[in-house]
Amino acid sequence: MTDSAAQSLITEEQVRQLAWLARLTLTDADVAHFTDELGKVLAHMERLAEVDVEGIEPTAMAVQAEGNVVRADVPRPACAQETILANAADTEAGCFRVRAMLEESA
Amino acid sequence: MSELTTLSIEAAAAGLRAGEFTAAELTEAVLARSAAVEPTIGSYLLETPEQARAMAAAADARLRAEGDAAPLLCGIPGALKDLICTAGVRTTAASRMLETYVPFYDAHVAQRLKDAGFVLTGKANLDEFAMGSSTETSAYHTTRNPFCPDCVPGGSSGGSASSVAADQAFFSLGTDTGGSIRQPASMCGVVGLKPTYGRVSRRGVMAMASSLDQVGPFARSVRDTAAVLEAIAGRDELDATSSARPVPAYREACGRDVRGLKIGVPREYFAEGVEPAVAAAVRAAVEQLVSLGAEAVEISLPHTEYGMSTFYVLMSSEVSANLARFDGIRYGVPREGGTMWEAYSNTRGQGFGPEVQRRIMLGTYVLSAGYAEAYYVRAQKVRTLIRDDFATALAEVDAIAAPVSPTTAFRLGERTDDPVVMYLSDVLTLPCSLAGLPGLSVPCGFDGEGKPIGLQLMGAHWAEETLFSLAYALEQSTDWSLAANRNRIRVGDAQ
Repeated sequence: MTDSAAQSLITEEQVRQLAWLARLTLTDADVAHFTDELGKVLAHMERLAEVDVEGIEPTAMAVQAEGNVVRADVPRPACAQETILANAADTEAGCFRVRAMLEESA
Repeated sequence: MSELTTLSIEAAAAGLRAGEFTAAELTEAVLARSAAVEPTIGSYLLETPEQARAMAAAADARLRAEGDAAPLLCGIPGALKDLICTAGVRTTAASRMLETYVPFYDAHVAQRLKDAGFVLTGKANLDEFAMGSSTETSAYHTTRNPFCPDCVPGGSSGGSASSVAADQAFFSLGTDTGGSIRQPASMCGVVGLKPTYGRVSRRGVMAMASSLDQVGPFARSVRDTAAVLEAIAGRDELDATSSARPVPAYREACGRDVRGLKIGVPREYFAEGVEPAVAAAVRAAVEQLVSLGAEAVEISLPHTEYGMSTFYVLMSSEVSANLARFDGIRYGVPREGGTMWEAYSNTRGQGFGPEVQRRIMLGTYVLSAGYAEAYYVRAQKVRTLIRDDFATALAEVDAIAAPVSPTTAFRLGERTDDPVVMYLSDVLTLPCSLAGLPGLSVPCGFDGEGKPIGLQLMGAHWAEETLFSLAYALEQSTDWSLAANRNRIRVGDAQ
C-alpha cells in the first residue's frame, strides 16, 4: 500500500473528532502528524480482514477463569480520607473539588 | 568489596546468614556500583538510597533474629519498574501526567517483596505508561544499553533490564504486555520471565491492557529469576484474575533433567526481518539443548503474521479505556482550561506524550460505532486462532523455542520516526502474550558487535517450571550468561 493510500484510511477531521472524544487537546501540527501515523498503523491492521473468522468465538481473556471469585462481605479498614485526597490538586471540605459540569443558564 | 555486587541471590543470602557481610554492606556496595554507572546508563527515574539503607538495617535486624528462617530475599537489593506503585515513593509511569504522584499504597508485588525483607534500590525507567519498545518514550530521560551505550536497552521495562545487567540491582521487576520483559532482557543479556497470565497479581500496577499485562522478574541467572518468581507469585484476593493455584518451588526445576523434553521450533519465527546472527544463535541454542538430550521438531504457528495487528487493536482498545482515568482531578498534574472539558483536554493533551496519545486515539477509533466489529471483535476472533495455534502445538511439544526479538539492540533514535517499524520490535513476543502463555528470555550468545541475543522459551499455561529447566540446562552448559560476559559491559570499570 502506498503512503497516500494509507493516509486515506483516516482524515484530519476524524483525528480531530477522536482527539475530542478522548479529551486530548492537540495542535494543528499534532493533528497532521497523527493523521499520517494513524493511517500507517491502520493500514497494517487492515490485514486482519484477510483472516477467515467464520464461526470463531472471540477471546476476551486467554486463560480460563477459575470460576467466579467471591469473598465474604465483611467490613475492613480502608485508608483515611485525607490520605486519598493527598494527591488531589484541589479539595474542599474533605471532597475533590472540580469545575462546574453544567452551565448555570439555559 | 565490589565483588559483593555480582553474587547470586542464593550466595548473597548465604553470606548474610554466615555473617560474612551485612545487608548494610551489600547495599552500600550496590549503591557505590550504581554511583559509578548510573550517570552513563540512566536505569532509574528515582534512586532511593535512604529507603535502601533503612530497609537494609531492618533486614540485618531480621536476619539476626530469624537466621535461616528469614526469607531468601531478606537484605537483597532489587529495583522496581516505575509503573509499580510504592507507598510514599513517587511513582510516575515515566509520564509528566504523574510527575508529582506519590501512591499511598504498595502494589501487591511490592508488598510481597517488602514482606520478604528486600531492599529497594529505586524506581526503574520505562517507556511512558509502558508504551514502547526502547524506553525512549519516557518523558524524563533515555536509558542506555550497558553492552552498547549508543543503543537502547529495549523496552518497555528498559531500566529494569539495564539495572540488572549493570549490577545496580540483584534483580528487578518489570511488566510485560506484548514483550516488555522478554525483549529488554534479550537486549541486555539477562534473564527475564513473563509468567502465565494470572500467575502474579496486577494490583497496584498501573494498567495498560488489562487482558495482557503481567508482572515478572529480571535477574542475572535462571535460578535467581526462579527465586524472585517464588516470592511474587500466587493469589491476591484483591486481583480477581490472580490464580489460586499453588506456587511451585521454582528453583527445584533448575537442574531437572531435560532429556526427552520435546521442543517445537516454529518456522514462522525465522521469517524475513530476523537478523541472520539472531537466527543462527537461536538455532545453536536449540542444538545445545538437543545435545543435552532434548528433542527438537519443526512446528507451525500459522497465524503468527497476524499477531501484531491483533495485538495493536486489542491493546489500544484497552489502553483507551484504562487511561481515561487520568483527568488531573484525584491525582496527576492538572492544567487550566475555560470549561471543565477544556481543562480535562488540556491536562491530557499536555500530560501525555505522543506515543500514549496515539494509542489512546487508535483505541478510541477501533472501538467507535461502525468500526468495532471490523477491528475489535475481529481481532478478538483472531486472538482465538492464535491461542488455538499454540494449544495445538503444545499438545505435541513441551516447550517452544524461538528468537525473542528479530534484531539485537538498535541505536538510540533509530526507530522513533515510524511507529510501525518500532512496533515490529515486538513481533515475536506478541503472540505468546495474546495466548496468555509464559515466556522466558535467556541469553544465547552475541552478535558481531558484542550485543546480546536472547532465546525465547514459551510453554503451556502454568508451565514455568519447564521453561526454567530448559533455560537452566542451557545456561549451565554454555558461557552465555551475564556472569560469563561482564567483560563485555561497556560502562564502569570496563569503560
